[in-house]
Amino acid sequence: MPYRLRKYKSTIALLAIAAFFVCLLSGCTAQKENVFFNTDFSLEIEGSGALSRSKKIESMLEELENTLSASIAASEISRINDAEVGVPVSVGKDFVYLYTASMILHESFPSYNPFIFPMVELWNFDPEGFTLSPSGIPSSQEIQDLLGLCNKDSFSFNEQASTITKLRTGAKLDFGAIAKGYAADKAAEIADNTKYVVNIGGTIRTNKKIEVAIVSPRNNGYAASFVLDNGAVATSGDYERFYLYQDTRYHHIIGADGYPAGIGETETVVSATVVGPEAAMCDALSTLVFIEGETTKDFIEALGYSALILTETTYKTIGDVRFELLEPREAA
Amino acid sequence: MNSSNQEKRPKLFSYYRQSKPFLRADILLLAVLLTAAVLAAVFSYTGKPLGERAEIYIGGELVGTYDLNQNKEIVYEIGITVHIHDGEIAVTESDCPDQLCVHMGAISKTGDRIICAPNKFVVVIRGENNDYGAITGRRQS
Repeated sequence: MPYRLRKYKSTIALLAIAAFFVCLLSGCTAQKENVFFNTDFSLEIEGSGALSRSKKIESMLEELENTLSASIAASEISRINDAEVGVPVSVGKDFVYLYTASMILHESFPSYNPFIFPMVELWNFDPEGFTLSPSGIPSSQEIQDLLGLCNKDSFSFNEQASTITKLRTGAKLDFGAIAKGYAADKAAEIADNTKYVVNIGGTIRTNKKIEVAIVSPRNNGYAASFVLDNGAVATSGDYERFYLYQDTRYHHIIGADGYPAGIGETETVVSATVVGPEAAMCDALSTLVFIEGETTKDFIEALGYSALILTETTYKTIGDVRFELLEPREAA
Repeated sequence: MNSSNQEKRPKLFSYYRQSKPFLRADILLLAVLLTAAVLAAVFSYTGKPLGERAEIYIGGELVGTYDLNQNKEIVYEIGITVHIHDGEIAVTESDCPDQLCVHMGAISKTGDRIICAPNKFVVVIRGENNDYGAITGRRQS
């Protein structure tokens, strides 16, 4: 320490202590509320560098949205979806991760389908086309005509060059089933050794021990709760984006046949919650479990994840997590 | 406490026992800490009524905090009108295309949210009755 500062040593020490106390009281915690990926984003973070980390997380999310949003014309997704057949489009590492992860799931379960977006648009469940009171629903002919486009043969991916090329006119990609979870994992990486809870539209990742409530698919309260201890959770439900047409509920999760998954069946899945270490996996698996139901049991358990599957009157659990039911439902 | 016990203690303790109870530095430390505590308390509570309250964010910035027990209508330039009535808050008008925020209706429970995605607009209820650390699943309306 330089000589002229030495006589202020005690003052400097006092200021440092004071700063530490002020930090304890306010500066080392941050809370954020915003909108990303067309849904709510919230972040609670406490620990060293909480404020700067929270800002970093927000700019990361903004960047990711600029890459993945179908509503932004310059995004990688828009450039691919608007591309002509045979023209390679170069993509960044976020895209490569999401495409690769989606393909692994798609090859195990074709109903987990990143190529289903043309069908989502046909049903008007894309953010741009969505309406609460549609003038009609697609005809079975329209659905059959489009279904051939919604599979992996519509694109070719060149891993070395990081390019993707469309092979059929009208084919489109989207990572709506995994992007929120991927974003939550990236936020967790930035939050690092602070204590945090990040929630992107109900896809949650935390390194704390918190009680999480699962929204009731039909009523105003909660269907169940469980303790999340250092991990992630995501839920897919038929109540999250839907419309009623001639008294039938049509929801946004399109199955392999081109219709909203489970429609017309009795005791169909209305909500699927998946709990495990990574948010991207929870997010993707919740969509898969919603579509495929308990046939995914072995797959989910082998990955080390847990799930709660709800129909209107029954519940079924997969894995080790203990869910507390808050609404009357019978074990299936 | 007997005297033989006191003699066994290290010199550090006897030094502090013999020194004046308050040195100038002690008083300074106390003053700094108290000022910091008061400032921090004032800083974190200003404008926030106790009990259930609604926070409103536009584009990630907190633009207002309202007591849910004081009926009020707030009009935002971005084209959104919010009503607070009998402990509930609702978006009653919005110029957004899908009108999902208006269809959400009124909310009142801690942790409930209404968002208007096209306007990057968030209403969130804060309060003391926070039963859950987070909520998974999103009700459309």
